[in-house]
Parts: sequence; structure tokens; C-alpha cells
Amino acid sequence: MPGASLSGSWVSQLRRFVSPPPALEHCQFCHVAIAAKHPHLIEVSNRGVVCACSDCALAEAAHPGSPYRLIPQKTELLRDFAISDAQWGAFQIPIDLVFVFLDSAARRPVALYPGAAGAIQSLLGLEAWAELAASNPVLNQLQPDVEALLVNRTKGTREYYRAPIDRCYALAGLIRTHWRGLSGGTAVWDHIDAYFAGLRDEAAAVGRAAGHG
Amino acid sequence: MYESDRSDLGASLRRVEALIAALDRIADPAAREPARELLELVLELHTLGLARIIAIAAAAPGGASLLDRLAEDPQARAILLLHGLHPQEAETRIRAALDRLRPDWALRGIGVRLREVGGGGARLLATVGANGPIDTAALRSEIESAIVEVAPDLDDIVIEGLDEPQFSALAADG
Repeated sequence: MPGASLSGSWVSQLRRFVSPPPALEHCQFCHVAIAAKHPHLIEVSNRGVVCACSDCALAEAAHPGSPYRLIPQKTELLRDFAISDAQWGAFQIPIDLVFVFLDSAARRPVALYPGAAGAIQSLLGLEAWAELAASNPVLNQLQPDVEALLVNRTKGTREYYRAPIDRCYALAGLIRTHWRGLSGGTAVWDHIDAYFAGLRDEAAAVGRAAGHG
Repeated sequence: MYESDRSDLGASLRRVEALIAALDRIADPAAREPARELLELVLELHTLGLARIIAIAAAAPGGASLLDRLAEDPQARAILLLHGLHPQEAETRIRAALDRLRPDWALRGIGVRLREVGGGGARLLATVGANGPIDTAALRSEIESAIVEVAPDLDDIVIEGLDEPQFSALAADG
């Protein structure tokens, strides 16, 4: 609202915020309307995330020939993750945010780092990954295509998550949407900080449920 | 008459807009939801209470004129509009505002007609005479301000007839 001298449509803005219009999301398979929180699946061939109702999500997950994989909803903060700066450097990733998942079609780990133009793909050195997995066995437990190692080394942070792939793509989308200019601008960092605050909460909830913390 | 009250009210309402925009920028639903729900609950409590107050006042002797006076008061009007309890529809309010401003606008070579109200918005047609103002952007903003002041519950105020039609800068821009 550039230079408004009078208050604007404040009533409609308040009302819209208080009761956001119902999300018109539908199951991609049976087209039934679904709640805001619903399962996601990934279409392995094109890495597209699709929304589903619980019934269809379970049916697809149970169907051996399905081109879709069910994305787990659990986020875990890997407190004991061990990576030296030299190991990190060996991946040659130009920014301090990246997620790595096992691509079942390519049969190798793929790194995606978010930026102004979306997520940029980089193939990881197999030796460097194997070495990292040797000291962090959790990497061998990542479900191919649907779970990722999410690395946040921005602004001195050293955080490593086992995160659902749709949450990782959400981060990439967030950054693409809010990136301004060369350095990203301050708004994008507010969004990134808010994203990781939310992710930490989700991970903490999982940690408590599992009795770790 | 209550100039100082009015400007304080304006400042508060602008602050409301800025805060709502700030909350809307929080991408994480877990962080935003408590604020949203708190606001929803408090608004609901006030709506129910105010609706009772108005029903009781309206039923009392002289109730109708009391409500008219409430609807005229800037502070009370803002609250009635917020809670959907203003006795007049948006269209009536806009027509009344246009009637009030018409003589002044006519002297300046400006004509404004209401085309329609609906779907959460209003469309108006502005005409500028030969002796009218040249700065159409300023005129557009003046008309928008006048309309949105009496109808802050509308999303879109579209003023046609000034260059090509375009959506109001006051419409949701994010």
C-alpha cells in the first residue's frame, strides 16, 4: 500500500486474516476436498509433489508399481551429526543451505541448493558421501526420494535435519519467492529464519515423542 | 468536531493494517496460528456482546435515533463496521458519501458515479470536465480514500474513467 494517507480497507484485511478463505485443495487421485494438513506424495520421475487424501495416499504407498512414493511427515534434528569443514568443502556447494536426497532412478545422492531461480541441482561426489555416511549412519536410513539431509550452515548455524522432501522443496519455494537482488534482501532472511524456527519446533515435538529430549 | 480522536483512530487503523501485513508475512502456520486464533476469539466475543448491546438499545424508546447517532460517530462507526453491525449496507454508505462530496467535486469539474457494489468490491466511474484536475493519480487516490473511509469492509475499490481502468492500490497486493 504505497503512501496511504488514510487507513485503507482495514476491516476486510482483518477479516481476511482472521478467517482465511478455505484452502481449495483436492486429492490428486480421487478429487475429494482435503484438509489443510494432508499427506503428500512425490512422483519419482519428475520429483513433483502431489496432494492426496489419506485413503489414496495409503493405497498408492501399498501399490508396488506406483510411480508415487508417500512422503513421511517426520522431521528430526540430527544433534550428533558430524561433518568437518573439510568434508563440507569437498561437496563444493556454493551456499550454506542445501538438501541432499537419494535419487532412486539415478541411484546416487543428489544435492539441491535453493536460490533466486529455484533449486539448483548438483551431483555429489560418491566418495565424499560414502565417507560422510560412514561417520553418520543415519544417512543410510534416509528413504530414497522422499527424505533428505537438510543442512543449514547460514550465519554461523550448524544444523542438520532429517526432513521430509516436501518441506525441503517448500524452503526452496520460499527462497525463490522472496529473494530480492543479489544478496536476497532482508525479507528472505526473515522467511528463512521463520521456516527454521518452525522446523525446529516440529523436530522438538518428534524428539519428545520419541523420548529423546 | 472530534479531530484529535479521528486522527488517533486513523493512526490505529493504519497500525492494524501494518500488523496484519506483518503477521501475514509469517510463512510458518505454527507461528501465525495462535495470533490468528486469539484475534478471531476476541473479535467474536466483541461481536456477540455488541450485537446484544445494539439489540437492547434498538428496542428501547428512541432506540432508532440512538443507533443513527452511533453510526455517525467515527469511533463507534469503525467498530460497527468491523463487526458487521453497521445499520447501513456498503452501497448506502457509499451513495451517502458521494452525495456529500458531489457539490464540492462538481465545482472542481469532477463527477463520480457508483456503478455497482458486489463481490466484496465497488466500481465507480469518474469523469473529469475541461476545467477539472489534471493529476489523475491524485484524483484517483482522493476518490479511493473517500470511499474506503466509509466502506473499509470492501476489498476492491475500482475507479474507472481515469486513464485505463486499474485496480486500486488499496486492494490486496500480496
